[in-house]
Amino acid sequence: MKSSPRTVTIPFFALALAVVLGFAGVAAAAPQVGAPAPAFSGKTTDGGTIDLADLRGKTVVLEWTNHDCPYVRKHYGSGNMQALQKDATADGIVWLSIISSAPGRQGYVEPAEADELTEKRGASPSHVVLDPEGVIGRTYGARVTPHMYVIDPDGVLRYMGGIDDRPTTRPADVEGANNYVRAALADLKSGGQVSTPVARPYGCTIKYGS
Amino acid sequence: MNPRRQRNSPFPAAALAAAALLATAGVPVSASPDLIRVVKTEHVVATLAPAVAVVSPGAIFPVALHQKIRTGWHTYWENPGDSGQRIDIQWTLPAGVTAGALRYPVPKTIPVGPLMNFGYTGEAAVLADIAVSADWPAGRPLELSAHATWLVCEEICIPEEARFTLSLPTGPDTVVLEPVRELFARAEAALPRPAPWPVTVRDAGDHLILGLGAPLGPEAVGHSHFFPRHWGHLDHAAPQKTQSSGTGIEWILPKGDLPPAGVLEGVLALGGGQNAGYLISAAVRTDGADAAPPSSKRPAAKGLAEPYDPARLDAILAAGGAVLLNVTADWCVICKMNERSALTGDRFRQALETHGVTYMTGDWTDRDPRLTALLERFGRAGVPLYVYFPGGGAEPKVLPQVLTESIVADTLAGG
Repeated sequence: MKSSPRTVTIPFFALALAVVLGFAGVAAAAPQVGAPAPAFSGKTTDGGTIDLADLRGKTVVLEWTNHDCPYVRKHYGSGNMQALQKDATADGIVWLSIISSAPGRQGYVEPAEADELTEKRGASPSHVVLDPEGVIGRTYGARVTPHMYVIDPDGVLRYMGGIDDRPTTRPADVEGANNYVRAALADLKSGGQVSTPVARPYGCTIKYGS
Repeated sequence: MNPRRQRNSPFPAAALAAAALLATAGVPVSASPDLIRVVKTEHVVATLAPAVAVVSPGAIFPVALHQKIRTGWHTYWENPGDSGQRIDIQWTLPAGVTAGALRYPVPKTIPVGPLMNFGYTGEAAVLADIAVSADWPAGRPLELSAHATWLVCEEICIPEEARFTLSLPTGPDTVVLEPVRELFARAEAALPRPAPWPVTVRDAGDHLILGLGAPLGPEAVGHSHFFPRHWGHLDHAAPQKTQSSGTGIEWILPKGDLPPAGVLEGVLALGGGQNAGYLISAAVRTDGADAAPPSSKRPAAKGLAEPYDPARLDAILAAGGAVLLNVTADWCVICKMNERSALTGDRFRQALETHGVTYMTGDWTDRDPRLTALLERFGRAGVPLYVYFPGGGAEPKVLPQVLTESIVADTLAGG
């Protein structure tokens, strides 16, 4: 019940350590909406490599995921994420589901298991990108699953944040939620500004390795 | 994902187990059984209890949700930080009964790899103030239902929930529920309190500078942390440096993804002998701009109001006049909401004039002891408090914590 001063000292130590180890990038180098999205390349489940630079000319959605996270289950269990993927990819948008869980931690999968999950859940990402070292995740300042980013055809980051405005694990909350990703894609399609370019991301902490 | 779901059963149906559970909340095992509800989930023992055993119509009383959290696991503050989800309660209440916003204890920093969460380990209690309308028929019990939800995390996170129902007797006088007096005292003590020092916030580009005009020692400052109330205002995980200023201490707070447009709100936890959290709410100034005068933060209806003065209040009532008293504080969000929505504007002004009511405000920002005494008189531990004194020897009437224009107009009309 009391706020112990001793516990408050822990983060300073932890953060000092984090700086030494180079983790502070999540906080310090977080990308900015309106600026070029950070470059990255990553391994896909089919053994190939995908490079953001090669996707210029197309809108790109990044979705951080962890299939065992209750917040991810909310959006896959209800079919919300699959519907968004289907509509987006039908519109020529490239959808990258990215897994930054470290080996041995929740959400980590080998390529074959990732493909099975896609199949089993009826998902339709363009690619599933495996990022077990957390390099792409840290570059983007990705904090939670699902954490969503939208990049326009010019390579400019146009949205980052949560999938919607209902930070819960209840599937019933999908209906009636304001889906920021769907809205951002619609805004981009109509040539306008993204009305909500930044929103609170909600979900499970990404299980980065140390 | 099925949240772990439990329903409470009337205590003492399983007397031994329930007694053990109550003990985890620091409640004596002889506690009044029907009003103290305990639900055990996989990771949390949750206790819901009102502060009162009997409530009188027109009263406001706190209800506590206490959590005993499994070792190694944590639950979350109002702003959970980079991930997580706050402890929350959805109320189902009869007409005429309202619940105020949850009041959260001072959180701890919970670093998770490169990220930062704000929450609780060990135990925590959140409080909600329940207001009962004055025309509630005394004797009819209040049926309260609370659906509490929280996320509890260690390495992984589990959404949990508990449903509580309780039937609270009503009567002419409010009676304290003795077995939970200690629990409420501890819960209140763990809440952040108003900062008794001058507070400034200025915009310095990629960070905000929070200044406290306080003579604090290195022990208090070295173990301090500022917790922003809203996501995006600050970079949760960034180290917070401090520096001395001419008049006190400054915290250098790196901005988040969505910096505050107007006001920075949060809780400043100090270490050392202070061992306490202070509520911070201050307008963000840009460098070079004139400091906002303190009066700019005052209630919008200030122009209509007289400052609280006990002698003046007595004099008006003795002369047969009526008084509407608003006890408020700069850091009180509900107060400001009410002042913007119900205690301002033409309808309010006309109601005051038509019924010859004097409007007084008492500013409890710095815990004026005269107002503390007044709050105690009306059984309140905090603000807002709205009291209508009809004059002519009639009993004062406490208004709900959440006001509408109609509630105020009806009250002033003698309704």
